[in-house]
Amino acid sequence: MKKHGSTARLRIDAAACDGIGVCAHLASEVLELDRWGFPIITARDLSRGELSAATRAVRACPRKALWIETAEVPAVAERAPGVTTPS
Amino acid sequence: MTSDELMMDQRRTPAPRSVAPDAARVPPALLLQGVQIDRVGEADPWEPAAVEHLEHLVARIGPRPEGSVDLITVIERAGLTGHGGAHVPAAAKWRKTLRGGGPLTVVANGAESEPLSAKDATLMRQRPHLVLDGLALAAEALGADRAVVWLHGDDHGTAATLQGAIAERHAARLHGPTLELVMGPSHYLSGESSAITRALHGGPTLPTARRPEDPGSRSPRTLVHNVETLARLALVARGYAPSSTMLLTVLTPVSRMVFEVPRGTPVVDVLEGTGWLRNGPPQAVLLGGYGGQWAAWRDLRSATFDEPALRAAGLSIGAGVVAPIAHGACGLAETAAITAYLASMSARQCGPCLFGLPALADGMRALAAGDASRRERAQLLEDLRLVEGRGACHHPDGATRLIASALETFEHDVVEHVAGRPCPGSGRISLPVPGGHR
Amino acid sequence: MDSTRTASKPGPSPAGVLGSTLLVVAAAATVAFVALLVRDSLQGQTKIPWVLGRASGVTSYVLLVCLVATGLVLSHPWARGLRRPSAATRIGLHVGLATFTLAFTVLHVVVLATDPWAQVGWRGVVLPMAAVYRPVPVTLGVIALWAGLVTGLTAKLAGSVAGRVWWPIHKVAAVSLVLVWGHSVLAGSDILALRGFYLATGLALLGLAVSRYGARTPQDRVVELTRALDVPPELRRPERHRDHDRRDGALR
Repeated sequence: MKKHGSTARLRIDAAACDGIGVCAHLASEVLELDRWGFPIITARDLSRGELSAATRAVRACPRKALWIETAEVPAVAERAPGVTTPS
Repeated sequence: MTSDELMMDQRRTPAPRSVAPDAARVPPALLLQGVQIDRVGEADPWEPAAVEHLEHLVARIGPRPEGSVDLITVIERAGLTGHGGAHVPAAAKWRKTLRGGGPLTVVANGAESEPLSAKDATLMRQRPHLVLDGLALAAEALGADRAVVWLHGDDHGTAATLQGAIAERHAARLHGPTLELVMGPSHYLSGESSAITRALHGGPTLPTARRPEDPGSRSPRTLVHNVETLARLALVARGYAPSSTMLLTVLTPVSRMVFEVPRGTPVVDVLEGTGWLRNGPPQAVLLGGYGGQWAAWRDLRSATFDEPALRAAGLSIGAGVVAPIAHGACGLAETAAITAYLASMSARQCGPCLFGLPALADGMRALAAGDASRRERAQLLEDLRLVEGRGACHHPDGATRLIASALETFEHDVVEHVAGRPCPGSGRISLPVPGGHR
Repeated sequence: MDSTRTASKPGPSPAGVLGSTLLVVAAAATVAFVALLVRDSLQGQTKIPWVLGRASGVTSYVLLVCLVATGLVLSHPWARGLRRPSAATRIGLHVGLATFTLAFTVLHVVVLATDPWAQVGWRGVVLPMAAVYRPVPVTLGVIALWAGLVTGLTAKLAGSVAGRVWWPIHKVAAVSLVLVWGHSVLAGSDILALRGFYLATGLALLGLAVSRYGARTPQDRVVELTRALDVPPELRRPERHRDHDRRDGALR
């Protein structure tokens, strides 16, 4: 993970997705296709390698149905200021 | 307790304002009286029910205070949660809304998508001004540009009451935001908040995925609250203690009954009051309606209508629907019929819903008919896992939760059906599941 | 979502195996045929490169037709939710066909560039209007070659350097098929049967393309579904804008 206390997740707008399958072709590490050809995200919190695969899928999707969401995880440092964040 | 007694409770309504002058006054009931209505369709009460006019409301609980942003701390302290079924804290929704910067529309969502639920319509028909007060308060507090009451297009009775109420407010020259009444489609999903948002911005009434927005974006914001939530807001803003009642819609073999009970009322009392225990206890109860979940009678026997307690037991009352089925009915057949209905109500936008729900419906149909092959059964379980959480809205999740709860609640029936011995009652559906036509 | 990740990738589907096998057999047969031709040409039969150029050209055409057909099927509204062949197989087939199309097109180009009898030459195969032999039809092929290379290259880079550029280029790439079709009809149809073949495949692809772009898309269907249910226009109000800064100041 690049930033402390934040996680990146790949998200799908299922209403925009047409099940073409480009994402699974480019980023099989982070998603797979169900039996109707629609993507299922298999990676929860993206590691660095998975993040680049996910970015590839996001950029290539012809329906712009994918995005990466970064969520702040309440880190120790946030709850108790002054404590160093574990790396 | 008989049904009359249950309903009578509600007639002993509010403690007059002068009796308890300070905060933490005992809150008045939401409903004026319990009603009995048809098993399907509009919430037209069998016996004429009272409508609270503006002067009644003011006489009873006083005029509406001005809405200010301090309300957010008030509702936070009161622990006001959404009453549309998901029980999301209202304050959290307000804070999220306040983070945006675009023009704001506040919506009172009176479109009960859940076909069995009638508590919102009943509330709006009896106390339209309480709901409108809540809407006006929220709109004022958040500085909204538009305040809308959103109804199903076929809910004519409620629309007429609300139109009358809005006209009354005009005539009384009440200050406050202009309140609009918008009739949406009568489609199942038109009560879904993202669909309402899209429709009010000129799009089709279809759910959308919630994509993240840049902080400080000026794009239009929409805050959708269930009408019961807003009615409770109108009471909390007047300084009443948060109400500890629940609105329930109970399905009986001949009707639906809508009434208010104190939170923590034993399930047994409610079923007894609605005549369900006359010929022995029911087999199981569908809580929350077609998008809800089944609970076996043994799990409900000692349960109470209290959302946190139900959640602790893995259950939820959702939007307050209680639909028991008698012994002799086949829970799997009922579930199959509901799943087929939910599949037909899909907006057909998302692949997992468009293909997954009919697949689930087929699987349930085969299971209910007692001729599901091993492959079909495995497929059903696989599809439950596959469809869960993958739609733009939560419509498919309602179906998967329902089926999962059915497989658990009617475990014994599942074994019998798989062995080729379906329930004798599996040919007849006791719940009023709509035919699936739109 | 399940937190456990699928450890192993699923094996190739039967259709995928069949497709790959067919392609390998076809490739092997072609190599054998080329070897035969080379042997013949070494024995002094000078027209062999010409025949080879023709053969590789027709093969490229056939592969390109399949390539475009699979591409159209990939995003065809009617194929939405199609279960067999699976989406992964369909896209794998499309990519595989692209590779083979490229290989045979390169063969076609090299053979014609090196065959003095063909009067095309290296300049002729890369520059428009530089061939002596039938300059206009050859130019169609040359433009299509570059268009095809750009299409393939951007698709190869999809998601990385070129981002989503590949998608509009892919859509325009259909035009290069029209060029190839013209190139084939004008420069590669000395047998009557071949003309019929071009016409038939061309029409088939046209039909597929029309159904792809003319078919009711899921969006159309959704619009249809909701048309009767939509909010009547008279109930919609235009957004009224107000000064938000005052309120924002009060809230923050």
